[in-house]
Amino acid sequence: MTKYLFKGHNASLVNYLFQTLLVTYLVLLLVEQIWSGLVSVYLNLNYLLVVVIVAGVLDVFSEHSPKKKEKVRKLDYWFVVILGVLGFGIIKFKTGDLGWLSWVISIIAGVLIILLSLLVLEDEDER
Amino acid sequence: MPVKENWKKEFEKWREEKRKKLKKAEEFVEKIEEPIEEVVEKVEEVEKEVYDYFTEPKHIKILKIIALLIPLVIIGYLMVNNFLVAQEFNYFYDIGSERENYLTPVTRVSEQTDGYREMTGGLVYFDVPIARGSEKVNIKVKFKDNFPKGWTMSLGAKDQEVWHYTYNSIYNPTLNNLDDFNKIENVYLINSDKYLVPIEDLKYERDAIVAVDKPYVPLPNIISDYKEKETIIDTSLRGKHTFYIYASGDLKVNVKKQDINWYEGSDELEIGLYDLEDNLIANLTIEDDVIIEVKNKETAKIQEGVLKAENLEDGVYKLEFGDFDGLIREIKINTNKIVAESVFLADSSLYNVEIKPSKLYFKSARTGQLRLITYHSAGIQNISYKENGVNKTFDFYQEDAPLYMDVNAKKYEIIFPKNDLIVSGVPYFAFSEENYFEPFKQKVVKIQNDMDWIKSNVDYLVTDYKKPTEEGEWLIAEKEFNLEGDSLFVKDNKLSIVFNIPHLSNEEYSNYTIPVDWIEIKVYKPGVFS
Repeated sequence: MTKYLFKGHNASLVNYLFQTLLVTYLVLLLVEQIWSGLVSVYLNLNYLLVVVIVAGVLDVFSEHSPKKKEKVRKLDYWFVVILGVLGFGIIKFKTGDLGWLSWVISIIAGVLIILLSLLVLEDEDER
Repeated sequence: MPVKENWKKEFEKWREEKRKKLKKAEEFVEKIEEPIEEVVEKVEEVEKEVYDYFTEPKHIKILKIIALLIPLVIIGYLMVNNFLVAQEFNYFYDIGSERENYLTPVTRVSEQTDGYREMTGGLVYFDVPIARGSEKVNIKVKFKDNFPKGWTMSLGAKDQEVWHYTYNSIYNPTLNNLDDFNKIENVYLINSDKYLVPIEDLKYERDAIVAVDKPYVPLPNIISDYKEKETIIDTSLRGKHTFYIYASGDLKVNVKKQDINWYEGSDELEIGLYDLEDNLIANLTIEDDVIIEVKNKETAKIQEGVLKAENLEDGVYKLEFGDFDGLIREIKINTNKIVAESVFLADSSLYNVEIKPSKLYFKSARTGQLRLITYHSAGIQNISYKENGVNKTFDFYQEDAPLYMDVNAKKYEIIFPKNDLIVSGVPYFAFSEENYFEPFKQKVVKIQNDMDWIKSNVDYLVTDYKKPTEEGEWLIAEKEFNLEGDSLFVKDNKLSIVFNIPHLSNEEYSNYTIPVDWIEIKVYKPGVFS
């Protein structure tokens, strides 16, 4: 039998905290990539990363309710496409100085994001 | 029999209909079974969530709200700091500390000794972090005066994507006594025969001579005797030169250059045509002669290039020849108006070219001096000149130190029989009387490190220079840059700053290294409410 660090409501709190911090960190990282200096001048993101990692480790050793099989919906496919387009946009923005190569890299990256996400979706669906 | 048969038929029909109805009902149940299951699952989930919510202890609820507040607080903090409040960022670069060396390249900075480091090269860089929306950067430097006599130090901030810096003097002993002169803001009145005017009105002071240490564009003149006519300058000139030309329509400049290969490395000649706002209109590169090593005894081949610009508006343009280890042998241009800021005459056997006398023509608007210097004994000569048509001579008798030739408000034609001389001063120089013109309503000169020269040649001096304060044997100089006003170039939230210490680019003065203790930086960012 697995021995958990946190159970029940405490486990749900740790999970909630980890998810909130992770999303915050990723959003701030994205903002920093697009408008460099907007975050890093006032906040060292590495400190936040340490907190996220600690929360993540605690979450791994906490009790989780069993996952139910979810049916893949049409909306999920749209979400995958939006993610791919977003990824393409960010990579194009960051590699803009490379000229035509920037287009190649960002298109390949966007297509990869979509294909890999579809693979994960289909895989979950089959299971 | 027919009744019985009829009944059987009716019964079969009824049974078939019943079966069909039953099948339909089964199909309907099958169809709605799945969604019902889903709804039931959802209801169960909601029930569980509601149950969890109501059974969740109060402290867990509060902690979850606190967890949710974390990103909101961070985002609020970033919004307020980035957009609302004024900020002052302070950075202290302890150059003398053992931990970190903020100056680059490391080859131009000594190891840490006695709490300081020494700058050993002519250009030493450091970066300043710049927050988005910042307005001003104030830099204080603590350094020791170990300068050879007459040399200065300035601080430059990068203002273009390419290698280009805007400089401000932070050490110039010549300017330490500026308080002796009357001033309005940063305009000092040097010639007491003139009136003190503010910087906005200075441009309208006709024929004034203005010494500056920052870019200053005077008003251009309109030249009535301009003609689109071929002019050939066949006097050899050494290295960097700046000409002003008057042009209109299509411009064509044929240039012949010859490398002298006195120093190792390639010798490309960069030529640029600029408008008065310093915007590049056209440029040309004449490549190296493929001799990279030192071969000063050999006569290199003459190379040629053509710079073209089309549809130029009537007016004054700057034609700049970059520095290179060679000679400009000939300039052929389709305008009759071309003057130089200063000239390095090079028709001398020293440069493996035929010795032939050079002639310069200029008009002086006031009394002043020409500065003449040579670095070789071959440049010592007897200079003859005509002052308003009267023949005179000037004995140029020494090398390595400048001699000054007095000029009055007259026309001059000077003949240099042996050349190898750098001629500079307040007037512009032409190679013939027809070529001469006054490009601007005023003459703008760079501030020279010689107060006597400034007093006898300059009317107004424009500078933001502040005398460094003394702290024991150390000096503390301060300079402020305006990010928008000076059009500074910030990349990746960093502004590149450079110490320009010209004497350290000269081997002769390599022992005069400059000790630096610290650099204190303040970056000011205004807020919405400030």
